[in-house]
Amino acid sequence: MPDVILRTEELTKKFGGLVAIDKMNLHLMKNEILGLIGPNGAGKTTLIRVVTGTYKADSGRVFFKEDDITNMPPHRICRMGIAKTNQIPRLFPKLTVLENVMIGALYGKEGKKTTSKAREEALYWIEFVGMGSKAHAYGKELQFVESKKVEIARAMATEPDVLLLDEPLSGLIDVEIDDAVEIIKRINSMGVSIIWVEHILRILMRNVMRVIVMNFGKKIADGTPYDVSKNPEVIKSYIGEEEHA
Amino acid sequence: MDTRKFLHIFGSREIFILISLVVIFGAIPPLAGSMYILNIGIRIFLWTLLTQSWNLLSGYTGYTNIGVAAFYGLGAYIIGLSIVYNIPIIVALFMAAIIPSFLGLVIGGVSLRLRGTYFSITTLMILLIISNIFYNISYFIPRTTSEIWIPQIPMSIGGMSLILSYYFIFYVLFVVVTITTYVIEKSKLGYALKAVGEDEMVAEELGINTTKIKVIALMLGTIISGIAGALYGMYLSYIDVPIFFSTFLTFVVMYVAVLGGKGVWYGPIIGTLLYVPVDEAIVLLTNIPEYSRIFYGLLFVLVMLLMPEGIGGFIKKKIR
Repeated sequence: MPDVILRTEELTKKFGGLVAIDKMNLHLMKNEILGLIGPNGAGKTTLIRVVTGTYKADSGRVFFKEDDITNMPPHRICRMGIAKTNQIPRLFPKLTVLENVMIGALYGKEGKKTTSKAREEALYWIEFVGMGSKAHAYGKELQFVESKKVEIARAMATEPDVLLLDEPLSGLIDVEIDDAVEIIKRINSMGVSIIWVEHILRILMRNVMRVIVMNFGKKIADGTPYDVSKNPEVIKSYIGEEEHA
Repeated sequence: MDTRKFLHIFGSREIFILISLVVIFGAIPPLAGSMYILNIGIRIFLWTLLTQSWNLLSGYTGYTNIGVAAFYGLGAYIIGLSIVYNIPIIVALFMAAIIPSFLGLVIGGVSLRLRGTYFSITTLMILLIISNIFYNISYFIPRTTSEIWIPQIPMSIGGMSLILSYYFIFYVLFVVVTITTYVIEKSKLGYALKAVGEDEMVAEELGINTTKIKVIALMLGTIISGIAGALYGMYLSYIDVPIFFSTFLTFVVMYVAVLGGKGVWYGPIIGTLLYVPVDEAIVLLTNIPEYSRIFYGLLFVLVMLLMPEGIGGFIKKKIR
């Protein structure tokens, strides 16, 4: 499969007796936007964290391009070209927006960079997410939406090939959602493959090429948004009430 | 982007502070060259160096080093033993920088992998172990005692008095270290250290090898403490365990760093300028050293209430 950029094989993660991810097989194609949905506690965030190396897998493997990246330290996985954003933004609170994004640029994929080059790139990404006017505000001074945008800018400054978005829309109001979706689509059009974890299905289904549904750590469906929404098991476990919306 | 913000990025005001400090300290001895003043000057340099060495790792990242005195004392004893064994001073100074940093590599390589208090406990243990080893040094190395008297080394530079020469040696080291910490704070390494201090998991996910960064910062710091210990040992021409492997020293360093503002390059300088001269003045005026401890306790409470990030942190916010 030459066009697969990220792939997991029988990936399993346990927390004590709880199996958070159970023999998960997943693949992400180049330039694809893959939606990852599932009820609370289905293991979506855990999956992302195992892929980025933040959590160690108990068994199974993760492949990025042709390399086995299972259980590599997170900084190496980031430098290979995988970046993520957090559901609840985690900016460096006492650093400015510019410094936050600069750190991504300084240490991300292209390791050897001067601070002035990193500053230039950081300013580009801050403009890109529309936060230019707040470049010198401290991380802790931002509103929730602003922090989410800066997190995307910071992740993009690491020059990823794969971007893992953990509920980028949660907590946003309608106008802000349109804005965020626009940003995600623009990032995709730059050639970045995206796994998009989301709760707001109505928006997600309209904007992804393929959807994977998880429940209790297992994959229960994989297909186009239309197929998945007709899948009886998915409806039973999760989308049932959304059908009438 | 407007000009003010542009200048701010390059820290123009901070460069102004840097140059003023260098000039003021270089000009004091010719103006007020009594031995007493010079001695206070040397102590200011010594405490600034030790606090800067602590600040590099602990100030920026929050991994508290309680064993600064281990590296400082090691530097002093390396000089002392070298002189006893007739090893050239230059070689000895080199070893006083390298051996403590190697110890830092070992300690950091093991305990800085873990988050939490492991590192602090390890550094404290190392200090206690090393001070015990040197207390019983005659058992390990023949012809030595834990008290070493070194002959005054004729270090005079261009006909200056001995103390003035030492003042300038410490001054040069002070300038070098101050500029280095300034450059580090604005560099890639500085940003990584700040990131680790703010949120280590995110730092790691952004491509920072956090363990490596922490060990590098520790090693740079131990080089400074090692050399400072070596030079101060030569200056005192007397080395023993209670003076150099002093746990109290670490706590003063931490006090000075937190008071002056940790994680800011000029914090250690501000802290030391408050600590050393006022300490001297109180002892001189009252003849009761304990009064200065009371004063520092009160000062600390006051600063922490009004400026929780230390005086340097407060200034940093004001000149933003």
